[in-house]
Amino acid sequence: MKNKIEDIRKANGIRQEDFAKAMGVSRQTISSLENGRYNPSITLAFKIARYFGMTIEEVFIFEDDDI
Amino acid sequence: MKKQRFIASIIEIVLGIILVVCCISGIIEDAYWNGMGTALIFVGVLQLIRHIRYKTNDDYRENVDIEVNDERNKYLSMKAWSWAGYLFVLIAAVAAIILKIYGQDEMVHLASGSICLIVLLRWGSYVVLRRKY
Repeated sequence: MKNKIEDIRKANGIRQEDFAKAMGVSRQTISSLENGRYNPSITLAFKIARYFGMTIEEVFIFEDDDI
Repeated sequence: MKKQRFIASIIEIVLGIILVVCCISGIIEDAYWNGMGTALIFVGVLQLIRHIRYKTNDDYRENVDIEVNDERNKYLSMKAWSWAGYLFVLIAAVAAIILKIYGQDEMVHLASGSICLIVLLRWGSYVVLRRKY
């Protein structure tokens, strides 16, 4: 599943370390999320979307290939 | 880190000291227990140091909490156990065949028994988890 976390984070001028701390996860987790190597749980996805004041659909891109 | 860990590390140290003292005084003559006692003391002290650091150092506590609660870490840990289980079964199966060829029947039983045990444990875990989720 693709996502726009890196773009949104950079647009808001937030460092990976600070973002990770705010989400209660490690910096490596944020890095893996941004690279698309790891898909977050629904709880973390909601937390990320809410942190940026967006909906899940605005942050994460669900494609048919993801099924 | 929970209080139980602190209590566990104290128990480990006390048990270790008892074992070492018993070995030194000659109550226990097997050197194995001396080694076990020393190892228990070492592990207990190490855990105690970590516990004290966790209680007194805010940065360390924050890092530990993130590492422990990080969902990717939990996922990777589960995945690693899963891989370890599969690899163990594969290695034991290959070992059983090779050992059979070399006529090591006792070792074949050990390898085959290990496979049966792990498959049984996997099945039992699946049944429990299926009821839970």
